[in-house]
Amino acid sequence: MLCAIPTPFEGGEPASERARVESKNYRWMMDYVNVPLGATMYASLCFYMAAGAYKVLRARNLGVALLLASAFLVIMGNTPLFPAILPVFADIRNRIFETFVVGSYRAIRIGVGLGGVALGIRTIFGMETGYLGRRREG
Amino acid sequence: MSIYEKLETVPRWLIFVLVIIAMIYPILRPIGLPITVGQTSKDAFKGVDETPDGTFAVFHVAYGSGGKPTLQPAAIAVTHHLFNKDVRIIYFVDNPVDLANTYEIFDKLDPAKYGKSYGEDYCVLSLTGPFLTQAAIVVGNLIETIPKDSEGTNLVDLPMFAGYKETEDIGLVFQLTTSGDISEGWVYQAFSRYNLRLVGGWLSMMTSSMIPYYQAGQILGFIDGSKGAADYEVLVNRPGEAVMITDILSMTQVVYLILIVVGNIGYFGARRLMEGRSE
Repeated sequence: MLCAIPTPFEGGEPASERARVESKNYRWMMDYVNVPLGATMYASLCFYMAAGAYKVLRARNLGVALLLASAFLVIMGNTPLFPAILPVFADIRNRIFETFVVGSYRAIRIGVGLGGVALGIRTIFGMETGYLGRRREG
Repeated sequence: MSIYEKLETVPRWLIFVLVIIAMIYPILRPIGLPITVGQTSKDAFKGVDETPDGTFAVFHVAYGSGGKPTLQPAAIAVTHHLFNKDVRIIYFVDNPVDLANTYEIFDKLDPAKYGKSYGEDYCVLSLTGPFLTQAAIVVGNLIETIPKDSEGTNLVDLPMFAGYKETEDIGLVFQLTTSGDISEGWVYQAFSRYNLRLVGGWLSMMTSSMIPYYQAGQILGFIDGSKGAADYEVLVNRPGEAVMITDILSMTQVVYLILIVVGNIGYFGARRLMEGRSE
């Protein structure tokens, strides 16, 4: 209900007016439903991320401790305050991105790509029939 | 309940109140932290700055109302940069909210001050349909496929398109988006297919999936969320909303870090207490 509070764009002109939406009904839905809900969804993430970080990021074992350490360093590098005091925080964050993140993300993408090719080949040769609704018997 | 157990179970409402305070305090009393411009923002600036004169820049606005606080300041800063160059801009949107965002950029910058006018130096296209198809059309075969702009004017009647040679004339593709499909889709359509110069901007949480393309040189540079937008405003020497929210970003993330530390102190303290009791 609170989300439906009108949030006109800065300058007082509703979004629908700027977008030249002509239909009165669509204008209402855009200004009072679409725009406020979209903005509210992203804005509420900030609060849930804070609650989630507090509840989940606890060094229960080595794996979580490593995740916690890297999350801590990345947040410090991303926060304008810390690199302004010590530029090394930005360097550490960049180093984490350039090594661990790039390496793991490339592995994921290559895996997805090879999986797609394998699925395509299986489908072409009739070895994959799940998309037809058939199930392997026995 | 011991102090550790209390630290381990801070109620959710208190966390939300702390976040709200961290957001409101810098608005009331700005800290004015210095901004250290990141390398990706410098590369994005360089990528836009080196757009050849007389070419077209395709500017995809795709952040809706949710990504607006983060990416609209970047859109304004980049448009300011492009308006100061001899580049014609094709704005491209795929929903009414982004169309409103695009017109708001013009309202804030006043193109006439830069000597730019609609139809001669820039235009807005409003498309529907699957994104990859839209992108392929915009950079590959625009005039034949999309006859009209968002105002309903025939593209061939706009002076900026006189002698337009489609892909050959595009000097830059710039995207601002909150969607992973769009940010990666432009790499496929603009870089992989046509080898066009590509620069982007997105939410910080998308950076981890996009940085391999930057490292491979497929994206020349990028604006990394609010921090990147503030960097870009500093680089074009036009401080705006992104610079203003830098303090809020710092305060909020410091609260996140404090909460993580408090949660861990509570967790380890309570565990030690439990072990002491069981012995």
